[in-house]
Amino acid sequence: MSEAVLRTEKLFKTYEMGKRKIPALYDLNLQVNRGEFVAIMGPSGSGKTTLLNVLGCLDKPTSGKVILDDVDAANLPERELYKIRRDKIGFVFQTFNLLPYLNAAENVELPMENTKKTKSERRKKARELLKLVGLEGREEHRPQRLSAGEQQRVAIARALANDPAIILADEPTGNLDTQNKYEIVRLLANLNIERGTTVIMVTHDSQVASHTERMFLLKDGKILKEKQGTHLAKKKLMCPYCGSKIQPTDARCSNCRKRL
Amino acid sequence: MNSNLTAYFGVGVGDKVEIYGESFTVVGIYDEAGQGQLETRSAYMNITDAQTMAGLTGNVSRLDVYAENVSDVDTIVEVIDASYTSLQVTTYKDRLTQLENMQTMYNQTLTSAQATVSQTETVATQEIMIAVVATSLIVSFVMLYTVRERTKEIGTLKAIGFSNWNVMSQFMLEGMLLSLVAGLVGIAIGTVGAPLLSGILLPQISPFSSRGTSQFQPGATNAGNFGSFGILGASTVTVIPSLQTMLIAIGAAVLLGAMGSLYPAWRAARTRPAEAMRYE
Repeated sequence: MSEAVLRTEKLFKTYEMGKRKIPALYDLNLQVNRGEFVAIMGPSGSGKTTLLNVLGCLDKPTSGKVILDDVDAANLPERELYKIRRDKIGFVFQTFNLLPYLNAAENVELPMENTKKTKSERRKKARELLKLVGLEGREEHRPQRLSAGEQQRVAIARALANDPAIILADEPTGNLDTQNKYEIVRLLANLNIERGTTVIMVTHDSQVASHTERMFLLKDGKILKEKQGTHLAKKKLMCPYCGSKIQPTDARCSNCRKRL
Repeated sequence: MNSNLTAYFGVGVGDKVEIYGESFTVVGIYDEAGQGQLETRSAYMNITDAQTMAGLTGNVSRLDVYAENVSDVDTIVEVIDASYTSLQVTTYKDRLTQLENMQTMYNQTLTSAQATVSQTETVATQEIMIAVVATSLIVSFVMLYTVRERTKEIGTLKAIGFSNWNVMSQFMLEGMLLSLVAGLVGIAIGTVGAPLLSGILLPQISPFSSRGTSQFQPGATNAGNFGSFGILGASTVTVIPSLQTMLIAIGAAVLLGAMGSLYPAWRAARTRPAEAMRYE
Protein backbone atom coordinates (compact mmCIF):
# COMPACT_ATOMS: atom_id res chain seq x y z
CA MET A 1 0.00 0.00 0.00
CA SER A 2 1.31 3.37 -0.95
CA GLU A 3 1.47 6.35 1.37
CA ALA A 4 -1.29 8.09 -0.51
CA VAL A 5 -4.74 6.99 0.58
CA LEU A 6 -6.35 9.27 -1.97
CA ARG A 7 -4.93 10.70 -5.15
CA THR A 8 -6.43 12.40 -8.16
CA GLU A 9 -4.91 12.56 -11.61
CA LYS A 10 -5.90 15.18 -14.18
CA LEU A 11 -9.39 15.45 -12.78
CA PHE A 12 -11.90 17.30 -14.96
CA LYS A 13 -15.57 17.84 -14.25
CA THR A 14 -17.73 19.83 -16.62
CA TYR A 15 -21.41 20.58 -16.08
CA GLU A 16 -23.56 21.12 -19.12
CA MET A 17 -26.23 23.78 -18.80
CA GLY A 18 -28.03 23.52 -22.08
CA LYS A 19 -25.34 24.29 -24.64
CA ARG A 20 -23.02 26.07 -22.23
CA LYS A 21 -20.30 24.05 -20.62
CA ILE A 22 -19.33 25.08 -17.12
CA PRO A 23 -16.03 23.69 -15.85
CA ALA A 24 -16.23 22.86 -12.12
CA LEU A 25 -12.92 20.99 -11.84
CA TYR A 26 -10.06 21.74 -14.20
CA ASP A 27 -6.95 19.53 -14.33
CA LEU A 28 -7.00 18.96 -10.59
CA ASN A 29 -4.17 16.94 -9.04
CA LEU A 30 -4.26 16.23 -5.33
CA GLN A 31 -2.70 13.79 -2.95
CA VAL A 32 -3.78 13.04 0.61
CA ASN A 33 -1.67 10.66 2.67
CA ARG A 34 -2.86 8.05 5.12
CA GLY A 35 -3.69 9.59 8.49
CA GLU A 36 -3.70 13.20 7.34
CA PHE A 37 -6.20 15.86 8.39
CA VAL A 38 -6.68 18.25 5.51
CA ALA A 39 -9.03 21.06 4.62
CA ILE A 40 -10.23 22.13 1.22
CA MET A 41 -11.03 25.83 1.15
CA GLY A 42 -12.27 28.23 -1.41
CA PRO A 43 -14.95 30.78 -2.22
CA SER A 44 -18.39 29.52 -3.22
CA GLY A 45 -18.46 28.24 -6.78
CA SER A 46 -14.81 27.26 -6.65
CA GLY A 47 -15.69 23.58 -6.98
CA LYS A 48 -15.25 22.47 -3.35
CA THR A 49 -18.43 20.45 -3.11
CA THR A 50 -18.00 19.05 -6.61
CA LEU A 51 -14.52 17.86 -5.67
CA LEU A 52 -15.77 16.25 -2.47
CA ASN A 53 -18.62 14.53 -4.33
CA VAL A 54 -16.16 13.17 -6.89
CA LEU A 55 -13.73 12.06 -4.18
CA GLY A 56 -16.60 10.37 -2.33
CA CYS A 57 -17.80 8.54 -5.44
CA LEU A 58 -21.13 10.36 -5.32
CA ASP A 59 -20.42 11.89 -8.71
CA LYS A 60 -18.32 10.78 -11.64
CA PRO A 61 -15.64 13.05 -13.07
CA THR A 62 -15.84 13.94 -16.76
CA SER A 63 -12.32 12.61 -17.10
CA GLY A 64 -9.35 11.77 -14.90
CA LYS A 65 -8.67 9.33 -12.10
CA VAL A 66 -9.64 9.13 -8.43
CA ILE A 67 -7.32 6.59 -6.84
CA LEU A 68 -8.64 5.36 -3.52
CA ASP A 69 -6.50 2.74 -1.75
CA ASP A 70 -4.80 1.99 -5.09
CA VAL A 71 -8.14 1.46 -6.89
CA ASP A 72 -9.33 3.82 -9.62
CA ALA A 73 -12.80 4.52 -8.26
CA ALA A 74 -13.74 7.00 -10.98
CA ASN A 75 -14.02 4.26 -13.55
CA LEU A 76 -15.88 1.65 -11.50
CA PRO A 77 -19.48 0.75 -12.36
CA GLU A 78 -22.25 1.60 -9.89
CA ARG A 79 -22.57 -2.03 -8.77
CA GLU A 80 -19.00 -1.83 -7.40
CA LEU A 81 -19.05 1.80 -6.34
CA TYR A 82 -21.55 1.43 -3.50
CA LYS A 83 -19.16 -0.92 -1.71
CA ILE A 84 -16.46 1.77 -1.77
CA ARG A 85 -18.90 4.33 -0.41
CA ARG A 86 -19.96 1.88 2.27
CA ASP A 87 -16.61 0.42 3.35
CA LYS A 88 -13.90 2.97 2.54
CA ILE A 89 -15.61 6.33 2.97
CA GLY A 90 -17.56 7.99 5.74
CA PHE A 91 -19.62 11.01 4.74
CA VAL A 92 -20.45 13.94 7.03
CA PHE A 93 -22.84 16.57 5.69
CA GLN A 94 -23.47 20.21 6.43
CA THR A 95 -27.13 19.51 7.19
CA PHE A 96 -26.35 16.30 9.14
CA ASN A 97 -28.83 14.28 7.03
CA LEU A 98 -29.96 11.97 9.81
CA LEU A 99 -33.15 10.02 9.15
CA PRO A 100 -35.78 11.73 11.34
CA TYR A 101 -37.79 8.58 12.09
CA LEU A 102 -34.79 6.64 13.40
CA ASN A 103 -33.16 7.23 16.77
CA ALA A 104 -29.45 8.01 17.19
CA ALA A 105 -28.35 4.38 17.51
CA GLU A 106 -30.46 3.29 14.52
CA ASN A 107 -29.00 6.09 12.41
CA VAL A 108 -25.50 4.90 13.28
CA GLU A 109 -26.47 1.30 12.48
CA LEU A 110 -27.75 2.26 9.03
CA PRO A 111 -24.47 1.93 7.05
CA MET A 112 -23.92 -1.52 8.61
CA GLU A 113 -27.40 -2.65 7.51
CA ASN A 114 -26.21 -4.38 4.36
CA THR A 115 -22.94 -5.78 5.68
CA LYS A 116 -22.20 -9.18 7.17
CA LYS A 117 -22.48 -7.85 10.73
CA THR A 118 -25.25 -9.40 12.83
CA LYS A 119 -27.93 -7.27 14.46
CA SER A 120 -26.28 -7.48 17.89
CA GLU A 121 -22.84 -6.64 16.47
CA ARG A 122 -24.33 -3.61 14.76
CA ARG A 123 -26.06 -2.48 17.95
CA LYS A 124 -22.87 -2.93 19.98
CA LYS A 125 -20.81 -1.00 17.44
CA ALA A 126 -23.36 1.84 17.34
CA ARG A 127 -23.23 2.16 21.14
CA GLU A 128 -19.43 2.22 21.10
CA LEU A 129 -19.35 4.90 18.43
CA LEU A 130 -21.95 7.07 20.16
CA LYS A 131 -19.89 6.79 23.34
CA LEU A 132 -16.80 7.79 21.34
CA VAL A 133 -18.48 10.98 20.09
CA GLY A 134 -19.73 11.77 23.60
CA LEU A 135 -23.38 10.80 23.27
CA GLU A 136 -23.57 8.00 25.79
CA GLY A 137 -27.10 7.74 27.15
CA ARG A 138 -28.61 9.48 24.14
CA GLU A 139 -28.88 6.34 21.97
CA GLU A 140 -32.68 6.24 21.96
CA HIS A 141 -33.13 9.92 21.15
CA ARG A 142 -34.50 10.93 17.79
CA PRO A 143 -32.72 13.68 15.83
CA GLN A 144 -35.35 16.33 16.63
CA ARG A 145 -34.64 15.84 20.33
CA LEU A 146 -30.92 16.46 19.83
CA SER A 147 -29.15 19.81 19.42
CA ALA A 148 -27.47 20.69 16.13
CA GLY A 149 -24.05 19.88 17.58
CA GLU A 150 -25.32 16.54 18.92
CA GLN A 151 -26.88 15.69 15.57
CA GLN A 152 -23.56 16.28 13.85
CA ARG A 153 -21.90 14.00 16.41
CA VAL A 154 -24.40 11.27 15.53
CA ALA A 155 -23.59 11.88 11.86
CA ILE A 156 -19.88 11.50 12.60
CA ALA A 157 -20.55 8.27 14.50
CA ARG A 158 -22.53 7.06 11.49
CA ALA A 159 -19.62 7.95 9.19
CA LEU A 160 -17.35 5.76 11.33
CA ALA A 161 -19.70 2.75 11.35
CA ASN A 162 -17.82 0.63 8.83
CA ASP A 163 -14.34 1.82 9.95
CA PRO A 164 -13.65 3.79 6.77
CA ALA A 165 -10.16 4.82 5.70
CA ILE A 166 -11.35 8.34 4.94
CA ILE A 167 -13.91 10.71 6.37
CA LEU A 168 -15.19 13.27 3.88
CA ALA A 169 -16.86 16.19 5.61
CA ASP A 170 -18.75 18.77 3.54
CA GLU A 171 -18.96 22.01 5.57
CA PRO A 172 -19.48 20.02 8.79
CA THR A 173 -19.53 23.19 10.86
CA GLY A 174 -21.58 25.26 8.43
CA ASN A 175 -24.83 24.96 10.39
CA LEU A 176 -23.34 25.24 13.89
CA ASP A 177 -22.75 28.04 16.38
CA THR A 178 -19.20 28.96 17.44
CA GLN A 179 -18.99 26.62 20.42
CA ASN A 180 -20.38 23.61 18.58
CA LYS A 181 -18.20 24.42 15.58
CA TYR A 182 -15.13 24.18 17.76
CA GLU A 183 -16.31 20.93 19.38
CA ILE A 184 -16.94 19.25 16.03
CA VAL A 185 -13.53 20.23 14.64
CA ARG A 186 -11.97 18.95 17.87
CA LEU A 187 -13.86 15.69 17.54
CA LEU A 188 -12.69 15.23 13.94
CA ALA A 189 -9.11 16.09 14.96
CA ASN A 190 -9.20 13.58 17.83
CA LEU A 191 -10.61 10.82 15.63
CA ASN A 192 -7.80 11.57 13.19
CA ILE A 193 -5.16 11.22 15.91
CA GLU A 194 -6.66 8.31 17.87
CA ARG A 195 -8.01 6.13 15.10
CA GLY A 196 -5.71 7.21 12.29
CA THR A 197 -8.70 7.97 10.09
CA THR A 198 -7.85 10.32 7.24
CA VAL A 199 -10.12 13.35 7.39
CA ILE A 200 -10.80 15.61 4.41
CA MET A 201 -12.95 18.59 5.29
CA VAL A 202 -14.46 21.16 2.97
CA THR A 203 -14.99 24.54 4.57
CA HIS A 204 -15.03 28.21 3.71
CA ASP A 205 -14.26 29.11 7.34
CA SER A 206 -10.51 29.86 7.53
CA GLN A 207 -10.53 29.58 11.33
CA VAL A 208 -11.94 26.07 11.17
CA ALA A 209 -9.51 25.19 8.37
CA SER A 210 -6.50 26.48 10.30
CA HIS A 211 -6.91 23.61 12.78
CA THR A 212 -6.00 21.03 10.14
CA GLU A 213 -2.55 19.88 9.03
CA ARG A 214 -2.77 21.02 5.43
CA MET A 215 -5.05 23.34 3.55
CA PHE A 216 -5.77 23.37 -0.15
CA LEU A 217 -7.10 26.60 -1.55
CA LEU A 218 -9.35 25.95 -4.49
CA LYS A 219 -10.20 28.47 -7.17
CA ASP A 220 -11.91 27.92 -10.52
CA GLY A 221 -11.65 24.17 -10.14
CA LYS A 222 -7.90 24.17 -9.57
CA ILE A 223 -5.69 24.09 -6.49
CA LEU A 224 -4.40 27.64 -6.19
CA LYS A 225 -2.11 27.06 -3.22
CA GLU A 226 -1.31 24.74 -0.35
CA LYS A 227 -0.74 25.89 3.24
CA GLN A 228 0.44 24.23 6.45
CA GLY A 229 -1.94 24.39 9.37
CA THR A 230 -1.63 23.78 13.09
CA HIS A 231 -3.18 20.41 13.74
CA LEU A 232 -5.53 21.11 16.57
CA ALA A 233 -5.17 17.79 18.36
CA LYS A 234 -1.44 17.53 17.81
CA LYS A 235 -0.70 20.55 19.96
CA LYS A 236 -1.05 20.64 23.69
CA LEU A 237 -4.37 22.37 23.83
CA MET A 238 -5.92 25.07 25.85
CA CYS A 239 -9.44 24.71 27.16
CA PRO A 240 -11.61 27.15 25.23
CA TYR A 241 -13.53 28.02 28.39
CA CYS A 242 -10.93 28.49 31.14
CA GLY A 243 -7.54 28.44 29.36
CA SER A 244 -6.04 25.53 31.28
CA LYS A 245 -4.08 22.79 29.51
CA ILE A 246 -5.91 19.71 28.28
CA GLN A 247 -5.07 16.41 26.58
CA PRO A 248 -6.50 15.64 23.14
CA THR A 249 -8.27 12.57 24.55
CA ASP A 250 -10.05 14.47 27.32
CA ALA A 251 -13.80 14.51 27.06
CA ARG A 252 -14.05 17.22 29.73
CA CYS A 253 -11.69 19.92 30.90
CA SER A 254 -10.00 18.74 34.09
CA ASN A 255 -10.19 22.26 35.53
CA CYS A 256 -13.66 23.65 34.73
CA ARG A 257 -15.37 20.27 33.97
CA LYS A 258 -17.00 21.72 30.84
CA ARG A 259 -17.47 19.26 27.99
CA LEU A 260 -14.97 19.79 25.24
CA MET B 1 -113.28 -49.21 -8.52
CA ASN B 2 -109.66 -48.14 -7.80
CA SER B 3 -108.61 -48.56 -4.19
CA ASN B 4 -107.77 -44.83 -4.03
CA LEU B 5 -111.42 -43.99 -4.83
CA THR B 6 -112.92 -46.54 -2.43
CA ALA B 7 -110.68 -45.12 0.27
CA TYR B 8 -111.84 -41.59 -0.70
CA PHE B 9 -115.53 -42.58 -0.52
CA GLY B 10 -114.99 -44.88 2.44
CA VAL B 11 -116.74 -47.81 0.77
CA GLY B 12 -116.11 -51.54 0.27
CA VAL B 13 -117.36 -54.29 -2.09
CA GLY B 14 -121.21 -54.37 -2.13
CA ASP B 15 -121.59 -50.82 -0.82
CA LYS B 16 -123.41 -48.19 -2.80
CA VAL B 17 -121.68 -45.10 -4.19
CA GLU B 18 -123.35 -42.02 -5.64
CA ILE B 19 -121.65 -40.56 -8.76
CA TYR B 20 -123.19 -37.58 -10.62
CA GLY B 21 -126.52 -38.27 -8.89
CA GLU B 22 -126.67 -41.93 -9.99
CA SER B 23 -126.32 -44.78 -7.52
CA PHE B 24 -123.83 -47.57 -8.24
CA THR B 25 -122.79 -50.71 -6.40
CA VAL B 26 -119.09 -51.50 -5.97
CA VAL B 27 -118.51 -54.94 -7.36
CA GLY B 28 -114.74 -55.12 -7.10
CA ILE B 29 -111.64 -53.13 -6.04
CA TYR B 30 -108.35 -52.98 -8.02
CA ASP B 31 -104.98 -51.75 -6.93
CA GLU B 32 -102.67 -51.55 -9.94
CA ALA B 33 -101.50 -48.04 -10.91
CA GLY B 34 -102.56 -46.94 -14.33
CA GLN B 35 -100.65 -45.02 -16.95
CA GLY B 36 -101.04 -41.64 -15.29
CA GLN B 37 -102.61 -39.77 -12.43
CA LEU B 38 -106.06 -40.09 -13.94
CA GLU B 39 -106.07 -43.90 -13.84
CA THR B 40 -105.19 -44.04 -10.14
CA ARG B 41 -108.60 -42.49 -9.34
CA SER B 42 -110.72 -44.36 -11.89
CA ALA B 43 -113.71 -46.66 -11.95
CA TYR B 44 -114.96 -49.07 -14.57
CA MET B 45 -118.68 -49.09 -15.32
CA ASN B 46 -121.22 -49.99 -17.96
CA ILE B 47 -120.47 -47.95 -21.10
CA THR B 48 -124.03 -46.63 -21.61
CA ASP B 49 -124.11 -45.34 -18.03
CA ALA B 50 -120.75 -43.67 -18.55
CA GLN B 51 -121.86 -42.12 -21.87
CA THR B 52 -125.04 -40.76 -20.26
CA MET B 53 -123.21 -39.26 -17.32
CA ALA B 54 -120.51 -37.63 -19.51
CA GLY B 55 -123.08 -36.33 -22.02
CA LEU B 56 -121.51 -38.41 -24.80
CA THR B 57 -124.45 -40.64 -25.70
CA GLY B 58 -123.39 -42.82 -28.63
CA ASN B 59 -119.80 -41.58 -28.53
CA VAL B 60 -116.50 -42.41 -26.84
CA SER B 61 -113.69 -40.03 -25.80
CA ARG B 62 -110.89 -42.50 -25.92
CA LEU B 63 -110.08 -46.05 -26.96
CA ASP B 64 -107.09 -47.84 -25.55
CA VAL B 65 -105.55 -50.26 -28.00
CA TYR B 66 -103.07 -52.83 -26.70
CA ALA B 67 -100.73 -54.44 -29.21
CA GLU B 68 -99.61 -58.02 -28.69
CA ASN B 69 -96.26 -57.20 -30.23
CA VAL B 70 -94.40 -53.86 -29.93
CA SER B 71 -93.14 -54.10 -33.52
CA ASP B 72 -96.78 -54.05 -34.75
CA VAL B 73 -97.55 -50.66 -33.19
CA ASP B 74 -96.58 -48.57 -36.24
CA THR B 75 -98.64 -50.75 -38.58
CA ILE B 76 -101.66 -50.62 -36.24
CA VAL B 77 -101.39 -46.82 -36.03
CA GLU B 78 -101.29 -46.60 -39.85
CA VAL B 79 -104.36 -48.83 -40.19
CA ILE B 80 -106.37 -46.86 -37.60
CA ASP B 81 -105.33 -43.55 -39.16
CA ALA B 82 -106.35 -44.71 -42.60
CA SER B 83 -109.66 -46.25 -41.51
CA TYR B 84 -110.88 -43.57 -39.07
CA THR B 85 -109.67 -40.14 -40.23
CA SER B 86 -111.57 -38.38 -37.42
CA LEU B 87 -109.53 -40.19 -34.72
CA GLN B 88 -106.30 -38.92 -33.29
CA VAL B 89 -103.82 -41.66 -32.47
CA THR B 90 -101.29 -41.25 -29.72
CA THR B 91 -98.66 -43.88 -28.98
CA TYR B 92 -96.22 -44.21 -26.10
CA LYS B 93 -93.55 -43.13 -28.53
CA ASP B 94 -95.33 -39.80 -28.98
CA ARG B 95 -95.45 -39.38 -25.25
CA LEU B 96 -91.74 -39.96 -25.04
CA THR B 97 -91.19 -37.25 -27.68
CA GLN B 98 -93.30 -34.88 -25.63
CA LEU B 99 -91.21 -35.60 -22.56
CA GLU B 100 -88.05 -35.01 -24.53
CA ASN B 101 -89.38 -31.65 -25.70
CA MET B 102 -90.10 -30.69 -22.13
CA GLN B 103 -86.59 -31.71 -21.19
CA THR B 104 -85.16 -29.52 -23.98
CA MET B 105 -87.19 -26.53 -22.86
CA TYR B 106 -86.02 -27.00 -19.31
CA ASN B 107 -82.42 -27.17 -20.49
CA GLN B 108 -82.84 -23.99 -22.52
CA THR B 109 -84.18 -22.16 -19.50
CA LEU B 110 -81.25 -23.40 -17.44
CA THR B 111 -78.73 -22.35 -20.11
CA SER B 112 -80.15 -18.85 -20.38
CA ALA B 113 -80.06 -18.54 -16.59
CA GLN B 114 -76.44 -19.62 -16.57
CA ALA B 115 -75.71 -17.08 -19.30
CA THR B 116 -77.18 -14.36 -17.11
CA VAL B 117 -74.98 -15.48 -14.24
CA SER B 118 -71.86 -15.49 -16.38
CA GLN B 119 -72.81 -12.10 -17.80
CA THR B 120 -73.04 -10.76 -14.28
CA GLU B 121 -69.68 -12.31 -13.54
CA THR B 122 -68.19 -10.69 -16.66
CA VAL B 123 -69.42 -7.29 -15.51
CA ALA B 124 -67.97 -7.96 -12.07
CA THR B 125 -64.66 -9.03 -13.62
CA GLN B 126 -64.51 -5.85 -15.68
CA GLU B 127 -65.18 -3.79 -12.59
CA ILE B 128 -62.45 -5.65 -10.73
CA MET B 129 -60.02 -5.04 -13.61
CA ILE B 130 -60.78 -1.32 -13.48
CA ALA B 131 -60.24 -1.39 -9.72
CA VAL B 132 -56.93 -3.22 -10.19
CA VAL B 133 -55.64 -0.66 -12.71
CA ALA B 134 -56.87 2.28 -10.63
CA THR B 135 -55.31 0.85 -7.47
CA SER B 136 -51.93 0.30 -9.14
CA LEU B 137 -52.00 3.87 -10.46
CA ILE B 138 -52.88 5.30 -7.07
CA VAL B 139 -50.09 3.33 -5.38
CA SER B 140 -47.73 4.51 -8.13
CA PHE B 141 -48.64 8.18 -7.66
CA VAL B 142 -48.37 8.00 -3.89
CA MET B 143 -45.02 6.25 -4.07
CA LEU B 144 -43.69 8.63 -6.73
CA TYR B 145 -44.62 11.52 -4.48
CA THR B 146 -42.91 9.81 -1.53
CA VAL B 147 -39.77 9.23 -3.57
CA ARG B 148 -39.74 12.89 -4.64
CA GLU B 149 -40.27 14.09 -1.09
CA ARG B 150 -37.45 11.94 0.15
CA THR B 151 -34.90 12.58 -2.58
CA LYS B 152 -32.42 13.93 -0.06
CA GLU B 153 -32.89 10.91 2.18
CA ILE B 154 -32.28 8.62 -0.78
CA GLY B 155 -29.13 10.59 -1.60
CA THR B 156 -27.96 10.18 1.98
CA LEU B 157 -28.64 6.45 1.98
CA LYS B 158 -26.64 6.06 -1.22
CA ALA B 159 -23.82 8.24 0.14
CA ILE B 160 -23.47 6.01 3.21
CA GLY B 161 -23.29 2.90 1.06
CA PHE B 162 -26.76 1.65 0.11
CA SER B 163 -26.70 -0.12 -3.25
CA ASN B 164 -29.34 0.49 -5.92
CA TRP B 165 -30.91 -2.82 -4.94
CA ASN B 166 -30.96 -1.86 -1.22
CA VAL B 167 -32.79 1.37 -2.03
CA MET B 168 -35.18 -0.33 -4.44
CA SER B 169 -36.14 -3.10 -2.04
CA GLN B 170 -36.62 -0.53 0.71
CA PHE B 171 -39.23 1.34 -1.31
CA MET B 172 -40.84 -1.83 -2.64
CA LEU B 173 -41.27 -3.01 0.93
CA GLU B 174 -42.78 0.32 1.92
CA GLY B 175 -45.26 0.22 -0.95
CA MET B 176 -46.28 -3.32 -0.10
CA LEU B 177 -46.71 -2.51 3.60
CA LEU B 178 -48.80 0.52 2.68
CA SER B 179 -51.06 -1.65 0.51
CA LEU B 180 -51.28 -4.33 3.19
CA VAL B 181 -52.61 -1.77 5.66
CA ALA B 182 -55.01 -0.43 3.00
CA GLY B 183 -56.16 -4.01 2.29
CA LEU B 184 -56.87 -4.67 5.96
CA VAL B 185 -58.85 -1.43 6.23
CA GLY B 186 -60.74 -2.43 3.06
CA ILE B 187 -61.65 -5.81 4.53
CA ALA B 188 -62.85 -4.17 7.71
CA ILE B 189 -65.06 -1.80 5.73
CA GLY B 190 -66.24 -4.66 3.47
CA THR B 191 -67.16 -6.91 6.39
CA VAL B 192 -69.18 -4.19 8.05
CA GLY B 193 -70.62 -2.64 4.90
CA ALA B 194 -71.38 -5.68 2.71
CA PRO B 195 -74.34 -6.98 4.76
CA LEU B 196 -75.89 -3.51 4.58
CA LEU B 197 -75.35 -3.09 0.86
CA SER B 198 -76.10 -6.64 -0.32
CA GLY B 199 -79.79 -6.30 0.55
CA ILE B 200 -80.06 -3.43 -1.91
CA LEU B 201 -77.82 -4.81 -4.63
CA LEU B 202 -78.45 -8.54 -4.84
CA PRO B 203 -82.09 -8.80 -5.98
CA GLN B 204 -81.17 -6.71 -9.03
CA ILE B 205 -78.28 -8.80 -10.19
CA SER B 206 -79.71 -12.22 -9.41
CA PRO B 207 -81.28 -14.20 -12.26
CA PHE B 208 -83.19 -16.42 -9.82
CA SER B 209 -85.47 -14.34 -7.75
CA SER B 210 -87.65 -16.86 -6.00
CA ARG B 211 -85.72 -19.89 -4.93
CA GLY B 212 -82.51 -21.01 -3.35
CA THR B 213 -80.20 -19.17 -1.06
CA SER B 214 -77.46 -16.89 -2.20
CA GLN B 215 -73.84 -16.90 -1.30
CA PHE B 216 -72.36 -13.46 -1.35
CA GLN B 217 -68.76 -13.38 -0.30
CA PRO B 218 -67.39 -9.96 0.30
CA GLY B 219 -63.72 -9.35 0.23
CA ALA B 220 -61.61 -6.35 -0.45
CA THR B 221 -58.79 -6.17 -2.94
CA ASN B 222 -57.90 -2.67 -1.91
CA ALA B 223 -59.50 0.36 -0.41
CA GLY B 224 -62.83 -1.41 -0.10
CA ASN B 225 -63.34 -2.79 -3.60
CA PHE B 226 -65.06 -6.13 -3.51
CA GLY B 227 -62.90 -8.96 -4.66
CA SER B 228 -65.27 -11.65 -5.88
CA PHE B 229 -68.76 -12.89 -5.42
CA GLY B 230 -70.77 -15.83 -6.59
CA ILE B 231 -74.55 -15.86 -6.91
CA LEU B 232 -76.62 -18.99 -6.63
CA GLY B 233 -80.00 -17.34 -6.40
CA ALA B 234 -81.29 -14.79 -3.99
CA SER B 235 -84.35 -14.73 -1.89
CA THR B 236 -82.74 -15.17 1.48
CA VAL B 237 -79.61 -13.03 1.33
CA THR B 238 -76.88 -14.28 3.60
CA VAL B 239 -73.49 -12.62 3.67
CA ILE B 240 -70.61 -14.96 4.43
CA PRO B 241 -67.27 -13.21 4.90
CA SER B 242 -65.07 -16.17 3.99
CA LEU B 243 -61.51 -16.41 5.28
CA GLN B 244 -60.29 -17.63 1.90
CA THR B 245 -61.64 -14.57 0.08
CA MET B 246 -60.04 -12.32 2.68
CA LEU B 247 -56.66 -13.98 2.27
CA ILE B 248 -56.94 -13.67 -1.51
CA ALA B 249 -57.85 -9.99 -1.06
CA ILE B 250 -54.83 -9.37 1.17
CA GLY B 251 -52.60 -11.20 -1.29
CA ALA B 252 -54.03 -9.11 -4.13
CA ALA B 253 -53.48 -5.91 -2.12
CA VAL B 254 -49.83 -6.73 -1.49
CA LEU B 255 -49.31 -7.77 -5.11
CA LEU B 256 -50.87 -4.50 -6.33
CA GLY B 257 -48.69 -2.60 -3.90
CA ALA B 258 -45.63 -4.30 -5.33
CA MET B 259 -46.76 -3.60 -8.92
CA GLY B 260 -47.51 0.03 -8.19
CA SER B 261 -44.21 0.52 -6.33
CA LEU B 262 -42.07 -1.01 -9.03
CA TYR B 263 -41.51 2.12 -11.10
CA PRO B 264 -41.21 4.60 -8.19
CA ALA B 265 -38.75 2.27 -6.42
CA TRP B 266 -36.74 1.95 -9.61
CA ARG B 267 -36.70 5.74 -9.91
CA ALA B 268 -35.49 5.98 -6.30
CA ALA B 269 -32.76 3.42 -6.93
CA ARG B 270 -31.53 5.31 -9.98
CA THR B 271 -31.22 8.60 -8.12
CA ARG B 272 -27.74 10.07 -8.56
CA PRO B 273 -26.51 10.83 -5.04
CA ALA B 274 -24.72 14.07 -5.94
CA GLU B 275 -27.89 15.45 -7.56
CA ALA B 276 -30.05 14.23 -4.69
CA MET B 277 -27.90 16.13 -2.20
CA ARG B 278 -28.48 19.42 -4.00
CA TYR B 279 -32.24 18.81 -3.90
CA GLU B 280 -34.05 20.60 -1.10
